[in-house]
Amino acid sequence: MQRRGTDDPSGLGVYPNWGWSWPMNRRVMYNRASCDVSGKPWDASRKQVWWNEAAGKWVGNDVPDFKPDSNPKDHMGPFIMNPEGVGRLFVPLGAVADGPFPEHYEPFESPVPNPLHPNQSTNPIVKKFKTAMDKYGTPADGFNIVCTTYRLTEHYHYWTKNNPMNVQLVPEPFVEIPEELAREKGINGGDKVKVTSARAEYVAKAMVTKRIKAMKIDGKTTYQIGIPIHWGYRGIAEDEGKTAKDLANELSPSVIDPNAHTPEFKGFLVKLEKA
Amino acid sequence: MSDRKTLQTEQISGHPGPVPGMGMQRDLEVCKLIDTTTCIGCKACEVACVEWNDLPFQPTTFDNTYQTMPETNWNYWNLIKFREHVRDDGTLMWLMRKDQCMHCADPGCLAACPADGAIVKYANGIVDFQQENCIGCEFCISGCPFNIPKFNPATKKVYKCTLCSDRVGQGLEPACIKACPTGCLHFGTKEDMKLLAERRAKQLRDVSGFKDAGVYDPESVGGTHVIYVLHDAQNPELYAGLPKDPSIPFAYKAWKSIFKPLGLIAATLGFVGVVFHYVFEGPKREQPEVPPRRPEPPAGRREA
Repeated sequence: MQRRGTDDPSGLGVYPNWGWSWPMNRRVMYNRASCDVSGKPWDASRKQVWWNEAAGKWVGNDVPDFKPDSNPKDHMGPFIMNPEGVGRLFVPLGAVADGPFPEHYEPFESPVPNPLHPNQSTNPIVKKFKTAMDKYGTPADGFNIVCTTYRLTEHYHYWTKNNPMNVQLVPEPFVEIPEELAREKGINGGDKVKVTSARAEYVAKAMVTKRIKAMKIDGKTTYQIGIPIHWGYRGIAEDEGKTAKDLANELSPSVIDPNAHTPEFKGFLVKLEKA
Repeated sequence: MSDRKTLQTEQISGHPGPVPGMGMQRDLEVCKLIDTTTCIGCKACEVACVEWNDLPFQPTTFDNTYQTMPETNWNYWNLIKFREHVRDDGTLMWLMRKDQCMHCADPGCLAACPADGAIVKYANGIVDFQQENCIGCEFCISGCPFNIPKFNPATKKVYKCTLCSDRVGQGLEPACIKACPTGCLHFGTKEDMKLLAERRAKQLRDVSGFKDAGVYDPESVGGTHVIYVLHDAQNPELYAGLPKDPSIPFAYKAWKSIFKPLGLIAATLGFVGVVFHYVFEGPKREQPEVPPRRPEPPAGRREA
């Protein structure tokens, strides 16, 4: 907690003096795998760790996740927690529903097609419901803003909207909007905004912030907005008619991951306008 | 703590040697240390303050920020102020500063207060308002360089953070300190907190790359009993307008340190003058009534 260093000497986003990551303040697990057999980084422009022959040990921008004095000639495998020393890419016996190989899929609603294989952009075996509410938006339909949902330290789930203390701390729902996007749409902090997904609409006040930055995805500027979920249905502010009774999760898609059954509430597409 | 000091034994009859414990007790000037670099803005201290002091709720409105309300209030003595700050290198910092009474060694509120006993400063450094003696003139509000005391129009009294003098008097830490989950709040003697703060600032300078990290304990109000560790001690204004050189308005200083004594001297001198006048001139005597003198006729006319 006391480690607040914002320096990043390697320029790779390692930030070795910010906080502490278990174990041994190591930022990337199995980082020996970023080197070839002789201990030289595969990508010279993104060096994590490497073998220093003169010093006889592993050094680098990160803390080596490896026996520090193990010469590459000894052929110790980088995946030190597996007896065979190499990664396990294959998950046998159907233990993973969408296995046996690891794969990257885009969220069901994504601003870009999957760069690995655009023809199968999303997971083919996600669970979906087949009601009239289960509609999905695409950037071509104008849903070109990424939306995420999250919680605040001041509230607990949907319970504390009935507790005056918590309501005093954060009284109303809001939508966090990056400064650049707000400027583009003519939105000022505190204005009511309408967020529309393929499924529902959500109206709340705008919080214009520098904390969410625009992203460059596939060469295009893409914005992300964020909605804390704690309001809706009944609560102190809702009963007094101060805020809408809508739930943020009416916006999000009921797309269920086939292994952990986690719904895809953290990444979907919306439109944003002044209400 | 002041109580404990009062009951400390100073002399013992018929006792050989020194009084046990004399000179052992430290000067218990208390201090709250706020390390803004490890505050996460969770507002647990705000809730603890409202709970311990049994402060009534008031409705708030969303105002484009995570901050609970724009300023501290008569029923909200502890407020984290949030500021988004872009540094010169383009990186962003979300600054969070817990705002409350600073418990100045030279309190502007106390200097400004005309009511007998409405504001007291304890030997341990706590500046406390005694609402039963408050006359609601609000001079303390304009005397405070940190914009802390707030007026309650319903009771016509002014309120602010007490540094939990009720808890501290019993040897406990203030409620906000107890609630802090990151350990960014510390409480102890002024001496210890100064040391801890300086050590933390040095750590930030040496290890974390904050070259201007330092301690905020402004000399212009004689030091405070709430001190901050800041990433950038050169620019305390960044932390929601923390004044670089807080000062008590001259009028208030002048009032009690110049004009009031001068007035008293003038009044005393006036009385002394009256006494001396009596001694040397005697009492005021009744003057015989003198008839108005007639103008004498011109000389030439008499002759004529």
